[in-house]
Amino acid sequence: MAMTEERSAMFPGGPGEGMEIIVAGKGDLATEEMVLNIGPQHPSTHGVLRVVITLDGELITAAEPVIGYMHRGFEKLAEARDYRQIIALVNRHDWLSAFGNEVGVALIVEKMLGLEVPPRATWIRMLMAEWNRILNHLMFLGSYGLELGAMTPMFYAFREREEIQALMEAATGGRLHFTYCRPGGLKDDLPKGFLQHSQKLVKLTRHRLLDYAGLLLGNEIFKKRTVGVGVLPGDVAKDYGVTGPILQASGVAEDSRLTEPYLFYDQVEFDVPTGSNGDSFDRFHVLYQRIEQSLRIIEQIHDKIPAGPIIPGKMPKTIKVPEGNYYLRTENSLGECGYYLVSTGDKRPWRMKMRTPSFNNVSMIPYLLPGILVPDLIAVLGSVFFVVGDVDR
Amino acid sequence: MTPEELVAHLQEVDASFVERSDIQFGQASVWIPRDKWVAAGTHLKECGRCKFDMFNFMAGVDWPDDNQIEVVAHLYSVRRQHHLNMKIRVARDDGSVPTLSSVWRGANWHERETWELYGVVFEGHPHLVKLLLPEAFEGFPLRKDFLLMTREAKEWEGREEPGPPDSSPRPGRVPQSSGVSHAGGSGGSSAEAVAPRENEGAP
Repeated sequence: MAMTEERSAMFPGGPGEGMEIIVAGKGDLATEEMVLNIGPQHPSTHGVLRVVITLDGELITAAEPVIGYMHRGFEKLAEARDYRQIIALVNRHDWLSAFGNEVGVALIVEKMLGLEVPPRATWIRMLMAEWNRILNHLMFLGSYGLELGAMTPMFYAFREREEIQALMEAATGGRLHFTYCRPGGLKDDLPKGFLQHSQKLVKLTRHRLLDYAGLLLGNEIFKKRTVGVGVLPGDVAKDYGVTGPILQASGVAEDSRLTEPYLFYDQVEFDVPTGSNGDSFDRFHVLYQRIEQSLRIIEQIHDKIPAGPIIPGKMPKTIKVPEGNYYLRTENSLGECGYYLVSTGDKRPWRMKMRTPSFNNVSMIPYLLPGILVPDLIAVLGSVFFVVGDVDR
Repeated sequence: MTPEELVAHLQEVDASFVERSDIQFGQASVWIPRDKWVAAGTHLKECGRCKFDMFNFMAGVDWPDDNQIEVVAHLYSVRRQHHLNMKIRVARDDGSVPTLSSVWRGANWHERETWELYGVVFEGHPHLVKLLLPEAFEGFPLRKDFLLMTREAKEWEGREEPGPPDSSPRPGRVPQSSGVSHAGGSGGSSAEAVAPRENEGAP
């Protein structure tokens, strides 16, 4: 009795009037959905991707990526450049795998011209493409840890990246944009002692890769945040045109190095790692295993690389690709990077469509995000490895 | 299937699917009439022999001489490992193509991109808004009559000119007489460049 008197003194309106608490189950109470902007400056977006998400409490009900902040009109620009200039141009869409981009352009020009490439040049291209793939994957191994709150993997990644970049710089002169390919071959031969150094670096990288495994793959916190989070089924991935490590993590062993070998990938042995669940952890794990496979390929290249010229002796001053259209795809670091070239026989392409892996991979985000909670958003978004320049071109 | 088999198979299923076809560098292209565009796409995805389960990309190609825009949808089958270009040509002025986004989810963004860059409308598309370009952008930048923005700001005097090649005499072949005036100009500027250096040295 004394209690109610006290309460009525506290809440002047009398019992039940001052403070009313309604406990309602889901659906009884009208709640508003909230629209939240993630980015374009959010660290997990690796650049300027903006994701507009609709929230019901903490549950994401819809997600819409907003892209185009880095659209630089490469496809338009390519129509005003000749083929050698285009090689410098395509270095820049996926800046983390510049060599992988440029090798595709060189290959499609050679294919349409029917140009014979010296074997040494092809082997060196493979070597560089694989080192570039490792560079790219190391970046994402490091940054994914960072996004989940683990700082050390980033430092480890840059420790290795620095040495690989120095190696590639020795041959190409570039650390980010290599511009090492030419239609028909390569700009320069490898410097003296390159292969020995490369061999040493393979051993070192393989050894240090165990650090990442120890830090993240067996880490209970890391597993709790990634296993079963953001599951992408294989057939949905294919429907969206998703390729690369993300498709492989969904259990589809599609890799154009294996299914449609270009360069000399048919002469080396390697496996395509696949995941079984298609969740964030699998995507990360596939990325990790792809580095191991790349190291395996590099070791075989060291044994097979022949002596000889790196570019055919006589190359025309202006390259005119014969009339026609062709699509050539390569397995770039983040997925299938292809070029659809329409030529009218001019020295410039009539149309060059850049089919970049990140564009298709990011277009899948509206499928992946709904149904997960906000705290998992970064874990999922970070595991859709993409480069914004590669999305926007 | 080989490219030849693919084309033959499509013709066998429905002769009206294939308007014409060609094989270039070992890659098959089929031109599909507008009213069969979605039906052909559905067949290509669902037929067990074709099994085009991956929508790879879509590209537009401008052909101003024919006053047409070509839309190319490139398909790939992960299961069967073969490629196919689905092509359709539409008028430049008010061209429209039925959407494939109900067949492959991946077509959604590619159609938005083709729409904003070429001005081809995709009928029945669920969300046809700008993707890469800002909302206020006017024009279709990948058409040949759209100049590079830098060229709009300043006329390019080099030999590379965007747009249809050889449609007009190329500007920029600098005649000899202008070379003389240029030499005079550079002489004057070098004299100006020397003067400040003397001033700097004076104190």
